[in-house]
Amino acid sequence: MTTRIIGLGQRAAGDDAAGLAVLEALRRQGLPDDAEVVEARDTTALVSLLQTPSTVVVVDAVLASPPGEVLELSPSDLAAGAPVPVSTHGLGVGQAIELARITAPDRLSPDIRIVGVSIGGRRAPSGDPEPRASDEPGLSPQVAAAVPRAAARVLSFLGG
Amino acid sequence: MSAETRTIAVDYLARVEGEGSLTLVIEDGRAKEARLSIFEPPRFFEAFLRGRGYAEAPDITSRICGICPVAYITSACRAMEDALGIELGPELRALRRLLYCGEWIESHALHVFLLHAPDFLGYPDAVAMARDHRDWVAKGLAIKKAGNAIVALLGGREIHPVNTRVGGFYSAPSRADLEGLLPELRAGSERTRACLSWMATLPCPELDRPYEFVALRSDDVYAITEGRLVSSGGLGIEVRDYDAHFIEEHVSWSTALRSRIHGSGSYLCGPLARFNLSFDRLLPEVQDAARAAGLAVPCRNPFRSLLVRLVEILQAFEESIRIIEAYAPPPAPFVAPPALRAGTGYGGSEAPRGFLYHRYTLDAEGTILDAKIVPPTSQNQLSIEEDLCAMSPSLASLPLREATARAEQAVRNHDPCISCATHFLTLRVEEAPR
Repeated sequence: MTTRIIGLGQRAAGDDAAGLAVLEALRRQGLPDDAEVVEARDTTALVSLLQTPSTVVVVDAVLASPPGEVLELSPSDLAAGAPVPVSTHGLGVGQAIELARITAPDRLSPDIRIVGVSIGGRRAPSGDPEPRASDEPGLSPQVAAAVPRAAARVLSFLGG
Repeated sequence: MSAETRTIAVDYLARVEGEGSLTLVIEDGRAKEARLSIFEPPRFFEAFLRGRGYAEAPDITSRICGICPVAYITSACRAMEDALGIELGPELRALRRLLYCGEWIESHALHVFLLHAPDFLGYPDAVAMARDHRDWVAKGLAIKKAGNAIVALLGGREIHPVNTRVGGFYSAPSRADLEGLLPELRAGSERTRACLSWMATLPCPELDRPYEFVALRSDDVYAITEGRLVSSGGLGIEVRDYDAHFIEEHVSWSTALRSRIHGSGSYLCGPLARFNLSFDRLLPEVQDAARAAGLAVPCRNPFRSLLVRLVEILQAFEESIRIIEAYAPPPAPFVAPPALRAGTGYGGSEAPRGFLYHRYTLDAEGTILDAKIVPPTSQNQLSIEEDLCAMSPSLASLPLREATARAEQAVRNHDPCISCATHFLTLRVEEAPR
């Protein structure tokens, strides 16, 4: 059954594009026939993309330190306040998953996995974000170095 | 003196993170001062547009916002077309309007269903609302998806479209491509009608504000992509005369500029302004739907903007359907500039949250020498602060938690700039020193 790999992020926002870079790495190295990759720049789009009988792997930049770590999170981790995936606007990834679960529980993927690439800047208790690894165009070196490892982690879920 | 602070996380567009805050200074139960502090990235864009080619402006400025990139693209294109003497034919104008309808649908739906409606029902967010109102939230998401589908088809992708350019589009869709959208648009229209009927029954705070409304107005259609700039105070000007009538000012507590009308004061742009100034330009059945929802002109209660946005979504769906049904592909996907020339161009369009003004000065090679961008949120900032002052007697009498919720709701009435308005405020209530 096809595994759906969803990358989140914006290329114009520096390390926020980590999820998209992982998709590009996967495309370059070639994916098995039973996998599809989808880019989502809007987390509300995630709600419908999670409606599939297949495994879904969401790949996103994550506000966590140190930058360049590859993290594996579950939807329940997000609900419990684990490192915060960087969303483009409005909805967080955890909220989008929860909305998908509530609005269409019978169509939600039974197996949602989240691969995060940490980009620094874990949110402080005050709510003020620490400086992130990079807002400059392109990925910072630490985050770029993590992309192949994140791609390998995604691949490890395929056909498993 | 007493001071309490509530800090809530914010998600901001080009910077991904950011924070807005609202400070109310209350004296004897009334607001002495309301300060809305917001961070507005567009100012930086004006500086780094200088030295760029004219054709780059739509793509660059579309990056200012992930929610209303089509508004930036359209205003920038209109300004460049004005500077270079480019006239679009009716087919390309219709396509541009269709693209904009898509953005209206997706932006308004995001705001109505995921950000604003929870306020009216007493939920902290859309997820909590969805637990009790699953079908309505699902309808909202389906409505938004239909808007995204228009933008994706015409713009090449849902966010930051890549198929648009000065003079039109890189490629024009076939009639068959567009007709493929019709079932989803018709369903979206029906869903919107149902949601409008339902939301019209929600409890709505009372407030009547003497706004001066400002919006584009067209001769024959509900103004979106073009028109004259008019106001309820009697203003009626071409977009190119904007600078002679509106001024921007710095205030110490905000990185956004605030706008005023010369010789007057605050004004309001956005859905409420458009509705009041162009109700007669709405399609007849949309006017009927608005009346059935209890809306009438003048509507000066900002909390009613929830319903007005649904009316505008309905208008956008119905217009989109009509544009597609009447569609004939343009002779060419774009109109090339006759020749580059030095000069200044002016462009304005109705972004989901209000009038968006662009002005560019070009040299003879088409290089941008100067740029000015005035987004709707900075124009509305003063009115938002005045809303809070007007509400202060009731806010002062409420417990802080309820006052905060009501103040946030009041700010959200105007969908300020970014869709992250859910939980974007730090509310600080201060007693004035005596």
